[in-house]
Amino acid sequence: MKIAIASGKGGTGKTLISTNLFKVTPNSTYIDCDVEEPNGHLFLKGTHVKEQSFHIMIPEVNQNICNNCGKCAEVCQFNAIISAKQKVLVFPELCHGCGSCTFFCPTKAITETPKIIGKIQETLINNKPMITGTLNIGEPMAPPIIKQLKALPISTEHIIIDSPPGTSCPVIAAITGADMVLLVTEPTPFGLHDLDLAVQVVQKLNIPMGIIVNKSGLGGNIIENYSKKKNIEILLEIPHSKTIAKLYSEGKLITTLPRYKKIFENLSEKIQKKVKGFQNHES
Amino acid sequence: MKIAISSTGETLSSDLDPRFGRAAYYLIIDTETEKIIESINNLENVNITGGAGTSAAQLVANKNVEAVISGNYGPNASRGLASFEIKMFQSNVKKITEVIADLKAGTLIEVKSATVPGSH
Repeated sequence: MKIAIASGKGGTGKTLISTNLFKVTPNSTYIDCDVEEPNGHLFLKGTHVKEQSFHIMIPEVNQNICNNCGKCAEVCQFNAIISAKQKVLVFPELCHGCGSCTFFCPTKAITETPKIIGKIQETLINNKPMITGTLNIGEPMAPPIIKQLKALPISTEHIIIDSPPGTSCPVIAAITGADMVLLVTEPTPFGLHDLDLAVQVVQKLNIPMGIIVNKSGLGGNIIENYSKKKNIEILLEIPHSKTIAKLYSEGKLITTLPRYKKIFENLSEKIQKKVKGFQNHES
Repeated sequence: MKIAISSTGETLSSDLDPRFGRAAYYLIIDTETEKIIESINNLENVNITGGAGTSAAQLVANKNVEAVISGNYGPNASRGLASFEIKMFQSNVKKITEVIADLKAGTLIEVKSATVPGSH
């Protein structure tokens, strides 16, 4: 199964859920797709396997070959290459590295040069892989590196994807292709508001989802009422607890406590069953 | 001289739009006759996630204007305009007719680089 943990609102507990779920799920890989601020590694410490830089290919135009037809500018969805007055200009910081301009250039005047925008690290956590993407500071484009993380060959049966917060392109890149999305929220007006935004995104992508309420007990039944209204199951409620906060602040997994280990094992099994159910339903 | 002014509307009595890349309209104007040669609706670019500045620079360059007047220019727009050898003038928000008068009176400030940081 491929499970993505997302939220809408930041700081609800995506990493708490992802890292602990990874810990109790045998034969799984953890992918940290929160590439602007990956922090799964604070809780999962292991043996460093490899690190490689990640680049996208940026076009470079040979003005001697270019006939200024403007096709490159026409096909660029991001206005990263423009053409006017017998000149072609490239704006690398807008380029997504999709290669369309190169592909469509009729005179083959475009060559591509790599531009490093981040790095990808692979670590072994008790013999289970953790893959972390990190976008360089100041780089605006997260989706290319997230897509690359998800395209890496993975041999484990299960994949746990820790998504970035929000509802825009990086989240879409992280959750697309998942068998199920777990939306982590907290019972506050902020949590509910952003949960609803996240639900709308997941509905658009047509992926099955469930809700996890973190810091439960804080703000009444607002999430329960919402989940009933929208008919989305609450898979787990984690209490607002000092014990959890303390462990978290020390960079420890809460599944080090037998009680929470059991709770997360149950969650893992429940999700696996659900995913199997969806797959049987489809086939 | 043929110029482009970022505008909130389609007529000479409209106000200047202070945003260059995300202006509602561009009015292509002949400063001799003070008439609108063409008004270009830019609604398609007002809400795009990125590249509004470069797209606008390309658009006005393809209209062969010698200068543009707007409120502010971002880094991509200004790089594009400068490369296409189009002069950039800065104006406060006021009626397009008044902006043209200011240009003719030589009271508009010419800028050579971005006046605001990029937005993404």
